[in-house]
Amino acid sequence: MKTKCGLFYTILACLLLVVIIPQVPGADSKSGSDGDPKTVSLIMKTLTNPFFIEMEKGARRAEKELGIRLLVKTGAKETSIDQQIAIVEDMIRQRIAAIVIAPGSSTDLIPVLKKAQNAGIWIVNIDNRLDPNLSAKMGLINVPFISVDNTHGAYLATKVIIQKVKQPATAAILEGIRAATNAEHRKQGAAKAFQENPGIRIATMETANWKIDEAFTVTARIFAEHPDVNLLFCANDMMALGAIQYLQGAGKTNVQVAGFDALAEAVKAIRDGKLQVTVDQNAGQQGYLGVKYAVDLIHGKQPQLETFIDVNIITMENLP
Amino acid sequence: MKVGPASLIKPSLTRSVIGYVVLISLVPLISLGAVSYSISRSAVHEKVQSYTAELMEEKKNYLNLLMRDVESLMMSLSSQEDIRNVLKETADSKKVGNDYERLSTQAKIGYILSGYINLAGIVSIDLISSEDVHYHVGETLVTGEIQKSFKEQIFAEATNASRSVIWMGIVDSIIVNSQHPKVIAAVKIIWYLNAQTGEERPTGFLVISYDPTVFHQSFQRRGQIGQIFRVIDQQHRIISDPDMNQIGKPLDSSLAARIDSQSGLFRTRLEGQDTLVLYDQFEDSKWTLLSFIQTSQIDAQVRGIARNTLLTTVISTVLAVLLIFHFSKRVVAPIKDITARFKAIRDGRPESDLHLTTTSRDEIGELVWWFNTFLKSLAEKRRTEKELRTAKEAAEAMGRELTQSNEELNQAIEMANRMVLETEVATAAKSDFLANVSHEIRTPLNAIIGMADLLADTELTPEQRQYVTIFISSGENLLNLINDILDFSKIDAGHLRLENLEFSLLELMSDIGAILQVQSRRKGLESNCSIDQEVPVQLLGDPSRLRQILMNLIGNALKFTEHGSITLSVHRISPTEQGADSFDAQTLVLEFSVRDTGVGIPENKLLTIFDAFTQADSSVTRRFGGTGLGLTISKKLAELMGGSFYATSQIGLGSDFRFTVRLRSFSASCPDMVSNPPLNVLPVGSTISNRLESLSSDVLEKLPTRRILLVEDFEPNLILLQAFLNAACWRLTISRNGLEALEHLKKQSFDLILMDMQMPVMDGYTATKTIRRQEAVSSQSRVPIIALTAHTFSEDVKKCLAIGCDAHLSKPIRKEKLLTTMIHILDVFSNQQERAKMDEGREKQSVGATSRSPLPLASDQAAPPAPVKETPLADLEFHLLNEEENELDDIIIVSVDPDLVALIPDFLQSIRDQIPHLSELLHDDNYVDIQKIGHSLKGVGGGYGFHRITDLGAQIEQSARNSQHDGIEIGIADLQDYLARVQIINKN
Repeated sequence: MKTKCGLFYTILACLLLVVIIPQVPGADSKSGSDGDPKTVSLIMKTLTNPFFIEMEKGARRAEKELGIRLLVKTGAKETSIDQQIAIVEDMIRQRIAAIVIAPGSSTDLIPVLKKAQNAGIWIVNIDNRLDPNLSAKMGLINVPFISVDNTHGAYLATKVIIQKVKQPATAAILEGIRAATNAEHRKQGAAKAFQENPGIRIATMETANWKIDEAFTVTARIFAEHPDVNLLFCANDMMALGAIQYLQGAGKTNVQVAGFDALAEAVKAIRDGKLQVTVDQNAGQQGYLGVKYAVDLIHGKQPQLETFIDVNIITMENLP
Repeated sequence: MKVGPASLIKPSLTRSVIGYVVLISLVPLISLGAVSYSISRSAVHEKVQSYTAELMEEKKNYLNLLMRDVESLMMSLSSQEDIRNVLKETADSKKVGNDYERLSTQAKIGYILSGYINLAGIVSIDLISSEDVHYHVGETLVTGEIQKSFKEQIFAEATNASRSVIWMGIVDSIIVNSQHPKVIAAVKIIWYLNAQTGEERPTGFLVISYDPTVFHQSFQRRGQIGQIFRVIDQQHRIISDPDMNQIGKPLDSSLAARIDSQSGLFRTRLEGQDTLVLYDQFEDSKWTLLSFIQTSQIDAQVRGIARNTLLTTVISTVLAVLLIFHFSKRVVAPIKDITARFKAIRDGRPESDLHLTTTSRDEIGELVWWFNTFLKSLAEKRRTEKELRTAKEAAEAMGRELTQSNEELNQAIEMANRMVLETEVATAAKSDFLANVSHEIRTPLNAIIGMADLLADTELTPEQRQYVTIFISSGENLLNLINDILDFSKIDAGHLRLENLEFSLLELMSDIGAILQVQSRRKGLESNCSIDQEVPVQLLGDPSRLRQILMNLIGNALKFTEHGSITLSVHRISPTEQGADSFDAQTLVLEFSVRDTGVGIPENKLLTIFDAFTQADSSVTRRFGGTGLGLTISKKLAELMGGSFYATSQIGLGSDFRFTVRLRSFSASCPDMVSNPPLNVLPVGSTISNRLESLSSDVLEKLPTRRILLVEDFEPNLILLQAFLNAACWRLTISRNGLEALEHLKKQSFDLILMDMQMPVMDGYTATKTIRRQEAVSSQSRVPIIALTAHTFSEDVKKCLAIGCDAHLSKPIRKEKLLTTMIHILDVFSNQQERAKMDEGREKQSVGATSRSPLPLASDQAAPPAPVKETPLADLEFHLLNEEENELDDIIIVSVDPDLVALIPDFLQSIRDQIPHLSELLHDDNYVDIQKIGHSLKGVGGGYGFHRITDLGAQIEQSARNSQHDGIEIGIADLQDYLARVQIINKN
């Protein structure tokens, strides 16, 4: 009886306790998604250069082939490095799977990309190479790189225009953004070709920051200072088109101009005889491969760390 | 068996407790829950609505802000000089410049546009000139073809719109094959005003495409209570919806139809759920923000309350059930147990099975304890009962045996009773027989003796006279013998009853002494008769039986004594001698002694002489005759009178027979009699015959002539009586029955009637009653009647006196007794009549008062018609004898006003005169007049001092009022009787 009573009161107490304990609503907070495993962002330097249109086209091809979602982002200008950094940060926020980037600067983007990598985003480097030393130093490793041999391309293109003039001749170089490795490589390639001919004097090497209108201005200034320049290497077609615009306007038809990138407008200018040569660095292929490599990384496949695409030298003789 | 109301619902404690618990806990709880649920539900509904409205406002603000941002972005873009110029130039020149111009313009606009593109959610910014030159910044660099329809639509809408920025709602992307097939588009037309002409024309338009996904992400945050927000554009296309697949699709038309004002709410059913829909329209864009709340989801907020209430109720119920269970187990179960056990006890189960165990020490425990105690005591009681039963059974067994014995005994008793009864019947039959036989014998014997008496009165020769004398004595002996036998049989059967009459012992003794004297002188013996001084002479008792004993003893003494003397004496045995018996003062014991000098009785015979039919010596019987019953009868009579009988005797010297009787003294009423001088009685020396002779010769001759009516049917008796009454003074009239007697009475009056009681046609009783009634009716003077019967029992005598006879004579009639009685009665009546005459004559002094006792000595059984006692009274007082009280000494004294005394006789006479009148009225059943007379009697009686008359008058009046014939009759009779007995006695 006594134990029964005890049991009874225990049950009673428990029941009371159950009544007293307030209803605690279940906290069924669902953890956020682990990002979009199929979204790859292609971040390019500028929307003003048709080169990048080609690159996007290649990337879109890969997008369709591989069944992923491609976000295409560009800075306003080639110099809009901060814009690119902002884009990367946006991508980190969007927790996309991979970034395929053509960095405007070889150094300035490394920290933000490292941050992206830490956030689990795969990084693929195309076009302009990120500084390997700084990358290593910052811990941004294992980033596949796809590009062309800019030095060699520039050298070949420069060779073409050198053959078209009698020596001695005066040469000038319009450089790209000097912080960009490809700009540096192209300058070096061009300079090497010029320097191999002792009859050629490099009057000046100036930068127009990859821009068409700046190139127009800078060319005008160069010719004002060095009216004898008859060889002009432009590190990209946009700058070449700007230079041609000046030369045509100034009536200097004897100046041999070399460009880079093989833009449609540049090819047209070669046909018109205004431009002598350009370098097709297969932008679409670069875009395509970049996306492909990114997907490989997402799927756990390690692509080769360096991929160089062959360049084609386009002249009057081999117009497509 | 069901106890109590075996209805469907049996009242029970548990049920009551459930009821109470439900009442005090569950019902309020449930009510509270229901009320709080409904209150909180409506509160929550309200709250949700207002909260949702707030949320909507917030959303709306957010959306407005977003739109303002976009709009301001567009404004700032459209106000860019470069953009305006480019558009103007392309519109003006209507030609496309060279690559450099195109690319550099492109780059220029690109730089501008890309400064705005990073605004979150902007898919693209497109600038389209009226000449279809297209600048694009956004998701892609690959612009390609733009949608013609879109452009035309935009132009149409934008040009008509009042607002500079037109929100197109959700539309197909401007870029074919865009990643965003549906975008939210805002459009601004860019106008150009020609300063010279004043003409304003559109040069192009700016389109901002906004990503609905981004919009969705930032906008579609679900409300806390599951509100769904939906934005539709002016075309009712869904801009934003939690389900992204819905984006761009048109809103359900039924829903759209209900949005009929700026804002509002309605309820509808969506996807099978009751849904509350709130809507609010944007003023600028004409978009509408909709909010959907499922009622169930609101209720879900409240459901907590309901759930808690339910849970609490359930738990309370469980608790209540547990409590009730507990209560039931603790309280009800023991009670039920006890109830069941009580039933079991009633059904007779042994108590030892029914003990309950409990450990609780509360009231229930106490109940159980007391129940167990009860069981114990019950068991004890049962055991006791069982023992008792066993004992009882044993007793019953014994009882049965006893009963059997009893039955046997009863049978035996019954048999004995039957035998006794038979014996009694036989005895009664014997007694009856004896009585009848003695009667039958006595009647002829009476005639024989009577004839012999008559014969003795005739002239006889001495020889004849001797024969006649023998004849007479033998007859008398025979008569005595028969009487003895009759007495003995009566005594033996217990039928003998003693009288209790006042008598004078002196007279008795002198009477017997006279006989003894006569008889002893005849035999030459001396005789003595003495009464002790202390013996009171006036006594109550049965004088005839006393006489019988004494006569027997004297007879024996005379018989057995040849020489010497016979002495009769009586003395009183003093109370001290009697011992300390509880005699009252009036009771006394007298010892009578008859001593002779006869032959004596041998001692060995003394004990047997009292046995019936025994004599001392059979030779004696032969010598003296007799039945041998005398002593036996005497002894028995003495014993009946409360005394004893004993004898002493010596052979040759004589015997002394003594007996005692217990009598009551009558001395209180006659104190002067106590001191009677001792008697040496009766100097008269005469035989019976001599006495007869003296009566006939001396007395009768002096008597005046009397008219006698003799009523007798039996001829011998008639002759005998005629012979007895042959003297000149008797003038006889004979009637053969009562009817004849009445006839004679009508014709003439008589001085005396001798009435035989047993007669044909009309017996003496009826005749006597009739006579008395007629006398009463006719106010005739009362004629004395002497009853003559053959019966000697006192009942008969009483009966005769009761109906109005004045004396009784038992047959056989002896001449002496007859004459003595007649003379006495006549004397008494003549005296009364004389008094009455004197009263009538208004003589103030009454006469005829005699100092002599009116009782005739010779009378066998004489009832005094009015035993008068003289008592000294005051001059003006009356003696009223009240015979109705049946007590001789009961005297009512009436005080009368001295002035009225002279009026009393007339008054009484006037009352008497009323009586016949009353009788007549009664005969006519005239109760009214009787009542009047009764009333006047009542009124007058007390006035003269006669209260009895008043009482009787009242009685008569009352009876008349009630028409009670008998009551009146009795009243009249009583009155008459009373008046007849009123005597006015003077001291002198």
